[in-house]
Amino acid sequence: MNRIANRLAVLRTGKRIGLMTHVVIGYPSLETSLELVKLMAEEGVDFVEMQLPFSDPVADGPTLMRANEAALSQGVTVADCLATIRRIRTAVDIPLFVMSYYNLLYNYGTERFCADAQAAGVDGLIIPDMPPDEEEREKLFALCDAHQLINSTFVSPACSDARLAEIAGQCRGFTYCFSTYGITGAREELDPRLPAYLQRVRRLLPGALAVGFGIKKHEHITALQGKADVAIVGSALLDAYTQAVQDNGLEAVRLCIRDLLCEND
Amino acid sequence: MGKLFFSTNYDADTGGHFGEFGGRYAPELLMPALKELEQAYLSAKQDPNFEQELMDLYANYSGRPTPLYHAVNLSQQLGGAQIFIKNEGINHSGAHKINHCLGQALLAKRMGKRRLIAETGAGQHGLATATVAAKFGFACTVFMGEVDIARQRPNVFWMEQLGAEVRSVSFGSRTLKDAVNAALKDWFSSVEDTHYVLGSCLGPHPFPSMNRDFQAIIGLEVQEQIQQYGFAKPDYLVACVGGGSNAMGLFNTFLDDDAVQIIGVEAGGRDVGMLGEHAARFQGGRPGVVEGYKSFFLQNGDGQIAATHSVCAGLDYAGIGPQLAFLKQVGRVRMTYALDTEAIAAFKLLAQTEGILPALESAHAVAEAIKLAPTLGKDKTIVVNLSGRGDKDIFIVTEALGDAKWLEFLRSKVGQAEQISTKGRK
Repeated sequence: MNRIANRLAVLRTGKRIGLMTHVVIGYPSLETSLELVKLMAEEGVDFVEMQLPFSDPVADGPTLMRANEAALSQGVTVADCLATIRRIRTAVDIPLFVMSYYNLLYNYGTERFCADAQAAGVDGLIIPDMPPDEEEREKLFALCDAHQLINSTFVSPACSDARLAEIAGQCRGFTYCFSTYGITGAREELDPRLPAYLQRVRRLLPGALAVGFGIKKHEHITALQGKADVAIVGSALLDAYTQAVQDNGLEAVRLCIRDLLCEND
Repeated sequence: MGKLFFSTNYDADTGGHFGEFGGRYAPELLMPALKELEQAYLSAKQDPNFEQELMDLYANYSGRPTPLYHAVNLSQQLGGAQIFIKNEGINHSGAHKINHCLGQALLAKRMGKRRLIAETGAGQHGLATATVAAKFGFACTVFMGEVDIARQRPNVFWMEQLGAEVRSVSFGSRTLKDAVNAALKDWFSSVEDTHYVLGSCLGPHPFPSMNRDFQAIIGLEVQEQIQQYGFAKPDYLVACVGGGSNAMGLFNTFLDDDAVQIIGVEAGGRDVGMLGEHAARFQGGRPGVVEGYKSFFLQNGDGQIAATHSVCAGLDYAGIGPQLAFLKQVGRVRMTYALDTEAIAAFKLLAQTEGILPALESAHAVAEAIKLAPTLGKDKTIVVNLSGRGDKDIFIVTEALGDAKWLEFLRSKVGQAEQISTKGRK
């Protein structure tokens, strides 16, 4: 059984909201990405989303864009990323997602990518610019199915009920819910419309709901308890890493995760 | 003249696919807005009032029809085919961009949007968007790469005078593709009250088809105008191709007539053999899916979008409109390129023989006509789309031609400005 499904079952049993954290592979180095994921697993993170750096990350805010640029400026390739994921997989047992923009998969060969990701120990994909509308041509969901990968579906507050029902048709049990209008980046407050929107999504979509964009504090996560299955924190951890003095980046991330998880059991 | 909205054998399917290209590869946050826009566009096409309103704006605001001018001197000097210049530079705001901006502004009004955003390279599309925003009372933000702001300052100044905010884009290669990215990022958060006036025949469906239809007036006018010169139809059409809006505007009317040969001219930059030194997607580009659509892109082996170069900001873009990628693939359009130096030489020749200063983008198309005309008989016709006028390029052209008197002029202006500001402080 897929590690993602297993972990979701554990969360359901424990009536606990899961935490998914984010790394940009190759930022600041491939070696540090490995260390970061190990640390995240040690600290009790439930899922890690590993982003393949891309030249044009359209849905990402300044924090993640800078990390993408920095990783690429060191010459990090898709093959380097897959090799690093392979090493990460030998070190940790938590579910791992690859987050990428579709062009990197398309250029690698979507089928070959799915096969190599599976072989590297990846459990799921998060590809925000590959909507279900293009599935007939791209076959990403079908290829993921064939390689035991869970391809995430996406919903946003702008989705009508009819659109949610359409997306439900492709749902494989894990849906990334954009918390608000906008791009990635830490925010002070959650969108006040979030609870009603998540209720609507819950009614129309099967499987787990993971909420991302703008989540940075423990209070944000507790506010999601009971309304979603997983909280996704990306930019806030990266901000903690880059703002830490000198060699304290890893420790800063560790503290940030502890803050996020406190009283959350 | 034919109806403004018509279909051809090369139209997209209902999902916006032109063969394997096009489509709508957009994050879910944008899907509802794209579908809303598609609905507004489809219903406007069916509405005779919309067409009438747009035709009225074309005529009375923009000054259409633009002339189709027989460049007799240039044709005689080259000694071959008759060259006709479709002078889109005569349009209000100086280029063809106003055509699709007027169409999109009318749609934005119908959708009840209050704000327009746009990306711009050379500044022509930004200028046209700022123009229609001022006219229709929309708030307006234009995204422009830092590099392009540095080379197109006059257009930035005009956009600001028109009431638009010009936001500098300082990430990536700081040119057109990054401006598109920045505009999309803004749209993610503002989609409820903002319309994104995408400035070319690219991006997710319905932009490629919609902008083509709003530009098709160019070809429709040419079809009629060439007959007034005694020719049943043009033998060749030539247009420069960045994203492809002026090219599709000229080409669309003639796509179903195989007797009309169609040539697109990409920016060859300094050297088409080196990635990063040019913007010719069919010289080393590959299929990819970027910025919401599938097409040809200049990219590295992994699919990272490559830096591009062209002397003109408007062609300096790594992707190409999906319908043009399809037309190239099926052999309906031939793609070639002109180097920076050839474009500058074409600029000078057209200026000196005909008294027309083309935008450097359009000078790429003129450069191809200069190569093509001598190979054809005098009874053949070439229609060159002069997508914009050259005023905006004064800083680039003076630099390319090493004009010493211009440099002297700039120095004296700076001196005067400094004197005035010193006096002001006293």
